[in-house]
Amino acid sequence: MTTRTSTKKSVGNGFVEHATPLLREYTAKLEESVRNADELHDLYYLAELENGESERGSSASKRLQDERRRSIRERLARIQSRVKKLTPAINQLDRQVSQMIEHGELGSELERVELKLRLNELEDMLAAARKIKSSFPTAG
Amino acid sequence: MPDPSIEWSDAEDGGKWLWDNYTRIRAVWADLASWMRGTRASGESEEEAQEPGILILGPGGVGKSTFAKLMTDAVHPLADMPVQYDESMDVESYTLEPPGDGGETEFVVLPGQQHRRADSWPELLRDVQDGRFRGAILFSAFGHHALGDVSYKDSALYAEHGRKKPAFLRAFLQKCRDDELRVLSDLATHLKLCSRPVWMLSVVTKQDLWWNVRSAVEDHYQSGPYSAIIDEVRNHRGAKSFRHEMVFASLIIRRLMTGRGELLKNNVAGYDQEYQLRSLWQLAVTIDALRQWEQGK
Ligand SMILES: Nc1nc2c(ncn2[C@@H]2O[C@H](COP(=O)(O)OP(=O)(O)O)[C@@H](O)[C@H]2O)c(=O)[nH]1
Repeated sequence: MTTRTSTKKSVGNGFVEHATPLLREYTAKLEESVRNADELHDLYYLAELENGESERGSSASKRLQDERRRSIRERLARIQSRVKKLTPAINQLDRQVSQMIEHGELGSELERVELKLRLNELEDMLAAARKIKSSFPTAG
Repeated sequence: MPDPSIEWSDAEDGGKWLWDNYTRIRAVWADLASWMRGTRASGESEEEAQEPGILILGPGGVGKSTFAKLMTDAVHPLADMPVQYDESMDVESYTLEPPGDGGETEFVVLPGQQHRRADSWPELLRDVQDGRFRGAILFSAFGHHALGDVSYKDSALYAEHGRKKPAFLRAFLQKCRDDELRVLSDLATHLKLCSRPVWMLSVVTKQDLWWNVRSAVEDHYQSGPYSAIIDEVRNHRGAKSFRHEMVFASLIIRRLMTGRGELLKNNVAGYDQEYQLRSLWQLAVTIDALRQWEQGK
């Protein structure tokens, strides 16, 4: 939280003070989802490569590879479901902030700019999170 | 296209009258929608003919998405209208009928909030200049823009006007009308430089909210600064390469409320679905006139 606004009289029912941490928190959550999904894609790709190499290996090592890929798929599905659950409330937050930027009584124009920048970050991350792919690349 | 000089039947049952006539309007709109997807003008390559689409713009909350949904049959004005105003966050595209031929939609609706304009408008307005659009539909609402998920009591204008609702509303409507002119002025700059013949349709929505002062509204758009800007474009381009039409309409009938459920203004008593349907018909006839112009008739 910033201390910048805490000393002056709260304008717009303290909207900026309430909205800023929420915008940060959900941008970070989405960012984490996108990062984790990227890592899972990399892991899956590696597992595919290794699978190709162990094609002639023991059936035990093939089972292990299958198990790894299944686990990666499950983790990705969990990330997607998390993003899906977060999206409606994030959209609501987005629209409230947007309307305050457009019409709201705020402490200063700088606060309006700050909200706009944070909203842009949230929207960029939401767009990236929506693009998380459920299918994996296959090696070869 | 079905004959646009509709004969309004005098059905005794008002509901049937509405339904029958709306069905006729739908037939016309389906036809217009397929024209909007892109017709090939003589001398154009296939690629050129595919490209130019229609740009829909205007400030936030004036009816752009509602219109696009009406045209694409996603909503029915007499039956199922959305109650909640959901602000568009990004550029929206709509697929126009007929389905199945796989063509890319070129029905582009821009988000209208001022703070979103810097993100998407400059590029699309440049596209207007570069001839990517055959026509632009500019929406206004005589200032009756929807307030989304915000209370009017949290607005800067409310604070600036003594925290009194009537004073707030007057100032809000005025501010929104000023913004309508700003948007027109932005569009006009690019229309003047557009590299192809282009038409523009001004749709003034929410007739149900300003019907009691309709002559003032008509004056505002037809003899005030709005029409002066249109005249500038026309004089700059000449009638052969620019055509403008204007229509006043009610896409739906509903009170002006904030997203928080606060009433700002009631719809005008006496403005009923018959007036609304006539205005929708006028809209279809006007779009048809633009089509004829585009096709050189
Ligand atoms: N009273 C009235 N409300 C309308 C009319 N057209 C649209 N609305 C409402 O105005 C709000 C904003 O419409 P929308 O199409 O989402 O606006 P956009 O931001 O321009 O796309 C919605 O609640 C619509 O239901 C109209 O002609 N009359």
